[in-house]
Amino acid sequence: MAIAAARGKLIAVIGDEDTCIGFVLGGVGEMNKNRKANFMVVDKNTSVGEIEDTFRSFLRRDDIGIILINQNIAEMIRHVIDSHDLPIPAVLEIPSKDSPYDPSKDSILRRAKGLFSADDFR
Amino acid sequence: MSLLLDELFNNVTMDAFVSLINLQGKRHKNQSQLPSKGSYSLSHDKSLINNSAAENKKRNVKMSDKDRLPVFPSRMSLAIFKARLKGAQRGHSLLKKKADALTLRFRTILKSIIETKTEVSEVMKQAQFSLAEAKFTCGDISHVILQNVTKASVKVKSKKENVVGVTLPLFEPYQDGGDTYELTGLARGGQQIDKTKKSYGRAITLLVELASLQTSFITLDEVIKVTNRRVNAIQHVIIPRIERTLAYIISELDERDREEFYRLKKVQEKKKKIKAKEELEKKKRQEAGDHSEAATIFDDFQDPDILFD
Repeated sequence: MAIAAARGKLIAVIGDEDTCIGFVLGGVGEMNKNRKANFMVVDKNTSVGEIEDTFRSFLRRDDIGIILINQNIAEMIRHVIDSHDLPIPAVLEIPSKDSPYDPSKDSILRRAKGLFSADDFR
Repeated sequence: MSLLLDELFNNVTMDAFVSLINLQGKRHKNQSQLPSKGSYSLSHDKSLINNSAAENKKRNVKMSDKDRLPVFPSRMSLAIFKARLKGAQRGHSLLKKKADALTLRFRTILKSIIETKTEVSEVMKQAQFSLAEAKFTCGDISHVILQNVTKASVKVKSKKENVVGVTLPLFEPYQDGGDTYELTGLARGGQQIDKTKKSYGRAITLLVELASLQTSFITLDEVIKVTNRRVNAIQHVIIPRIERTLAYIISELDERDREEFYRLKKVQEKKKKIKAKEELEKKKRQEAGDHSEAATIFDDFQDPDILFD
């Protein structure tokens, strides 16, 4: 565990096919010894339970430092994301190809609500 | 006898004084039927009663709404509570400074989070567009890419930053090993794929930056909440309570002072009376021609066993 931390942490991705391909091409993909990947491709046949399980398993893995998740997928498992309040791994919501980014839905930015106005995003 | 008493009076401690008064009271009881004979022994008892009364009061107050710490009012506890008040005030100012420093940092981070988020959405748009281009030129490359995953070439190091005693984790991306997809798109569209890689690389760098900002944000948010709670607790609960306790101790000490003063006055008055009476008797005797010493209490007075009776 400590060795994994010293070696540097991975970036995990949960997203649609395009997002995953992009980031894997960018070089974040890794297959560990148990043939478990650090990314998950979500298509229209993937159930919410599956996403939830994968997300939870990513949270449990201590070699993952950042979890990137498409916002429309994050919306499906919002309760799990909201209940995760530890700083590491950091959960980041990213825009996906077919849904624009909505700052009002972001877990972090909702916490910061009242500290800034929505105009800051324009 | 009165001389002796005076001398005694000058250098007796409080306890001895009290027992002396007691003794005197008893003597008066034996000797004559003074109307106020009980008053001295009463005052002695009073100090005892006083102690238990203070204790009773303390217990009652604890239950009532006037909230203060359970102490026995003495000079020592007064000093202790003065020191505690100082300490609490100092702690309050220090915590307040800490909270201010954290809030300052918090606001900077919030500002840069918003900036980075805007930038990220821009960069992501570009990256997605370049991926679409690559797909258009190479056909379906998703299987090739998703199946050939082995080792991550981009990883994050986590460092720690210290802001007024709060450790904030900071992520930093770094290259680890070579590119797995060097040969992807060799047949056609290699350039587009290269472009996609680059734009996603930029997106990753930005996202890692955003992640560390966000992590700091959450950590700071938590710490600020705790610090503010402490500041408010000290300001609105602890300091007022110590102040109330101090006021109680001071009033109680003043009250005791007044009591003491009154008792001393009373004793003095009594002694003056006795002295005047004795002088008168002596004068009378001298006028009658008797020059022997006046009778003292020690002639025929049996010392009562005041300690063990």
